[in-house]
This record gives sequence, C-alpha cells and structure tokens, in this order.
Amino acid sequence: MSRSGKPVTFNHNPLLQLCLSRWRARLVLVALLAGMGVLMGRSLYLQGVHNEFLQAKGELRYTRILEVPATRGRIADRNGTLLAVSTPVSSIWALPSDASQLEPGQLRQLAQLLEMNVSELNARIAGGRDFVFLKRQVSPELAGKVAALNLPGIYQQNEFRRYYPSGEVMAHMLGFTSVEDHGQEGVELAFERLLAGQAGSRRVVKDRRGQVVEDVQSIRLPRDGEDVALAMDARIQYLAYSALREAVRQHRAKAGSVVVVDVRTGEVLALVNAPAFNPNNRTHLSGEQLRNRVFTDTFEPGSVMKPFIAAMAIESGKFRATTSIDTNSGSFNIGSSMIHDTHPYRMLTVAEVIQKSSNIGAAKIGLAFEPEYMWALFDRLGFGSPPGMGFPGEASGNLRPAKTWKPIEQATMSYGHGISVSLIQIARAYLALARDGDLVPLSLTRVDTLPVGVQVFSPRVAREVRQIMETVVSPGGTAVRAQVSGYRVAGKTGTANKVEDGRYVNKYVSSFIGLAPVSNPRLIVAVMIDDPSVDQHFGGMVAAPVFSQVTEGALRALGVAPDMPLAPLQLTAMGTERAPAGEGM
Amino acid sequence: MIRFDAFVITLLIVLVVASALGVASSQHEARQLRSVLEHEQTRAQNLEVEWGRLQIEQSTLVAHRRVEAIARERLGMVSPNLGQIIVLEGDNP
Repeated sequence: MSRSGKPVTFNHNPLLQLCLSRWRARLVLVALLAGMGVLMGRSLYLQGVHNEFLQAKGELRYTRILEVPATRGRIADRNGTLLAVSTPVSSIWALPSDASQLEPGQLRQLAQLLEMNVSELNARIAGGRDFVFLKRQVSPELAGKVAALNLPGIYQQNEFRRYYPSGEVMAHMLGFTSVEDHGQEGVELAFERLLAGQAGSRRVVKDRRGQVVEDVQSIRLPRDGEDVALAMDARIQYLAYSALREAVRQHRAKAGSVVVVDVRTGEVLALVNAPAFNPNNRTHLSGEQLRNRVFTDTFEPGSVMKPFIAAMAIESGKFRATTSIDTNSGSFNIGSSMIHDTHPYRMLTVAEVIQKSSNIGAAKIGLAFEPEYMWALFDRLGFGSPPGMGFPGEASGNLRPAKTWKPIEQATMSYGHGISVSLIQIARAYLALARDGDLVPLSLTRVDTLPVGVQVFSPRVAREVRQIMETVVSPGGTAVRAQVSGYRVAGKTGTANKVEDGRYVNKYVSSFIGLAPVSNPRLIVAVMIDDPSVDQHFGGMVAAPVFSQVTEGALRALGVAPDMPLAPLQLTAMGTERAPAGEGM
Repeated sequence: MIRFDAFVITLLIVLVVASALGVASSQHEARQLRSVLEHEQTRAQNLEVEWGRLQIEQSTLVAHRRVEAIARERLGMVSPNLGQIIVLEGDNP
C-alpha cells in the first residue's frame, strides 16, 4: 500500500475515512454535557442550597467550644483585708474503661503523686462507674505533674477552691462554699447572688497542635462574681474572738457569742461564736461547731430586758428615775406564784432596780402597764420577728400575743423570762437606748449613707436610761468588771436560768450588753456565755469581763477619744484590774 | 481592539491572583496574631492566679494572731496602758 512512497498523514489515514453516522457523535456530546450538568447542579446544591449540614460537619472537625471560667467574688472587711479568696485548682478524674489498661508501674506513679494507696486507686477505677473523681481540688503544680505523666483515661478539670486566710476567727460570719464553689453558710450563702460568677463559653478554631487560631464566636461572656465589702472590722473581730474563746475555756462554758455593732450606722463590726471551726479544713465538723448562735439560738434574755422596761416606764410619765418601789425584801407573790431577788432590798428607786437588778422591782414596774402596751414595745424593738438581715437560719424568737399573757407571765417578762430572743435581736434593740431613742436596721455590709431610724423612745428617755445603765458598772452595781479604763461605759447584766424540756434547770445563760462611750455612744457590745460551769454563772462575773476587754480594744482600734479624765481614771483602772485577781477567779 | 481585551484580561487575572495571595497571607497573619493574643491571655490569667495566691499569702502573713504573737513574743512589745497614751484633739471625724 505504501509502496507508492507517497507519505500518508495521520489525518488522511484511509482507515479513518470510515463514514459513521453523525448522530453518534452528537449523542456522546449530549451525554457528556448532561453529565457535566448533573455535577454542576449537585455542586451548586451542596455549596449554595443545602450547605448547613456540610458546614456543621466541617466545623465539627476543627472548632471547639471552650468554657471560660468566671471567678467567685472576694469577701473583704471594711478596711480591705481579704477574708475569702478563690484560687484555681484541678480535680483529677478518670474514665475507668480507658484507665483500667494502665500498667502497674504507671498506677504506682499516679498513686504516689496523689498521695493515695495503689489499692485504693484501683478500687476507685474498678468501681464500675463511667466517670470517677480520683482526687478533688489538687494544687495546679500537682495537676501539672499528673498531666506530664500523660496517662490514658486520666483527665483533669479546672475548679476553684475557696481560702479563708483568717481561719476560725471569721468562720461563722463568712460561712463556706461547697466543692462546686456555691455558698453553703453565712455570708457566702447570704450574698450568693452577688458573689457567684457565671462561666462563659466561646467557639474557637483550633489547629492540629491544639492552639486556638480563630475566635469564631463568643456564645456567652463570663461574668466574674462581685466582691463584697463587709461592715466587719477584722481587728475587732479578732479581739472579740480571742476574748470569747478565752472566757469559754476559763468558765468551761458550753458555748458563747459576741456581737459588736456600730451605733451610728447599725453596721455589724464583729460577730463571733465559740466553739468555732476551721473553714479551710472541714473534715471533722459537728453541728455544735457549725451553729451561728448569734442568729440561730434564742435564749431567755433575763435581766438585760430591764432597761427597756425602765425606759417604757419613764417614757409613759407614770414613773421617774427617782420613783421609789417597794421590793418586799426579796419575795413577791403574784397569784399562786412567787418571784425572788438574789439580793433582797426594801425600797429601791427605778434607777436602783436596774443597778441592783431587782426582779421584783422590774415586775412591779411592768405590772403597772397593760400587756398590749408592753407587747407593742417589744414588737417595736424587733422581738418575735426575724432580724431580716438575709443571714441563713435567722431565728425570730418567741413573743406570745399579749392576750394570752397571765399576770405572772407579764411579771416575769419584765425581767426577761417567758420571752426568748437571739443575741443579734437584743443587740439591735439596745441601739434604741444607745442612739437617741431611734432604732435603725443592722447591716452586714458597709453603710455609706446614714440610716433613718424608727423612734421608739424619746431622746431624753434614752439619755436618762443610759445614765442609769452607767450605774450598773459603777461601784454598787452588778457589773463593776465591765469597766473600761479611759472610757465611760453603760450596760446591763443578765443571768437567766436555761429552759430544757419546758422546765427551768440549774444551768444559766450569762450575758452582758453594753454601750460605750456614754458621752457619745459609738459601740454596742453584746456578750452571751451559754452554761458556764466553773466558779461563777452571774453575767457580771462571766460576761462583763469579756465586754470590758472587747470594748477597750475596739474603741482603741477605732480611735475613739477617751471620755474620762485621765488622772483619777488611772487609779480606778488599776483598782478594778487588781480587785478580780484578789478574789481568786 | 483585540490587544486591548487581552490587556484587560491579563490585568484582571493578575489582580485576582494578587488578591487571593493577599487573602491567604492576611488570614495567616490573623491566625498568628490570634495565637499571640491567646498566649498573652493565658499569661494574664496565670498572673491573675498568682495575684490571688499572693493575696492569700499576704493575708495569712498579716493575720492578727500571727502579728500579735510575733509582737509579744519575738519583739517583746506590750499594749500601752492609758497613762502612756496621749490623745490629740483634732478635726478627725
């Protein structure tokens, strides 16, 4: 064929000269175009119309939602001393299904770091649950070491732990938080709404090394808890706690409480209870230790009620401070009952009834008034209703309706029996005497604008009762030991029989509630000692020295100027300090 | 006419490529900056933690019980009695 020598180009290859029908080429072209059309349509559909699903799938592979932790607010005292701070810690947890493959050597290392027994650790992992905490709240350093071991199935989670640098001194005031950092007691619970932060979250893109490369979206901004500034003064709180603990120990008392209130603002400067507990280590806690007695425990106040009866009597105009009352030489019949005085007297003035703490005198004054009149006074002073400070477990005390009062009950109520109050209630009621007759609400937090009070007594009566109460701590009164060197103080002792199972028993609650300095009252200090069992049980012997100690330190800490002349003062101060030692406490 | 069209098309191609490169590089830069920011935020958080711990340490060191014990025992200090205190009258509210 090619012998002719004529070159044949490919295109002119006679083999290609086949004459195919035209439609075949067309068909292939149409088929190819149709295929392309389908692909384009599909890609348009995926890119444009039905794209959410694929985008979500894609994002799943590189985006992560990160929790942004928020810290709990701090608690500070009025001078900025920190009382409660949260710091981050880690909790170590395990997925038992993965962790069960750990080798004995690895387990031993882990157990050593966590300060646990290998067997204990094994028991936890083999507990049959899907998720188990190995150890909660370990330090960040330790958590770093555990992470460096790089063990399968062992993970950690960031948490916060609350520290209380002042320890047991503030324990009841501050309360504490749970392991999840929620308030459980005290201020931590009362101010939970303010203190608690709210964790935020955000969606991010991470690269293959696990670093965040793009912030896609902030789902929720974290909100840190707010700091709370308490009205409390850490110095006074410490003073009060040391004095109270010492007194409870010395008198082998069951318990005790002290409250210090700023007269001008109603701020609670100190609030302590004994026995206390260490809020940083709460492994062995009993209910006795946990109770914030200032708020939760009510007791029959006893004679500390008498100044209110005296104020009521003078206010009404029926009595004057100098009005004489026959106290029947120490015993007095009301119906079939008889009331007694510890020290019998005959004629006493209203002022002397307070100074000598005569039950009969107080009962006779009280009986001169209608029960409703007395009830209204108690009600206005806040007895029988909770103090409303937002503290958990506030007791309201017991004040029965006036209609049910029998004469003997009205008589005993005049000297503080048959009525029960909490220490915070009675401390607040004394505000009416320490201020010029008006009563302001108490506050746990700082008060910047002076509160407006409700008038209970007239200023003249309040001043007069303060003077009468000053005689209580003067020679001849029941609480000479409440004296404070350099300052004029006034107050009232209380020694009340305790009620157990509905009857009076041979146990006492000793109290002293006082104010200082008398010339311009600044502080109310209320002391309550429950069941002092050694030597003495009288308020003037047990509670008054605590009052003196706390008041002296507190007035000094606050920089209140002494209001007693210096020269004779030094003599009396030394005299009163020596006298108790001579009696052999 | 044809030469003008070719010029415009070439120019557009160049611009498209340049902008594509720009997008890529700015994206890269953004990620780098993000990583720096992330790093600094972690540092800030750690400093915050450290500050909290120092605050705790400080309040532990100035705890009244500790200060009182050091003042009384190691330094032999005593509370002044009233004769040793001179009160100055002033405008102190």
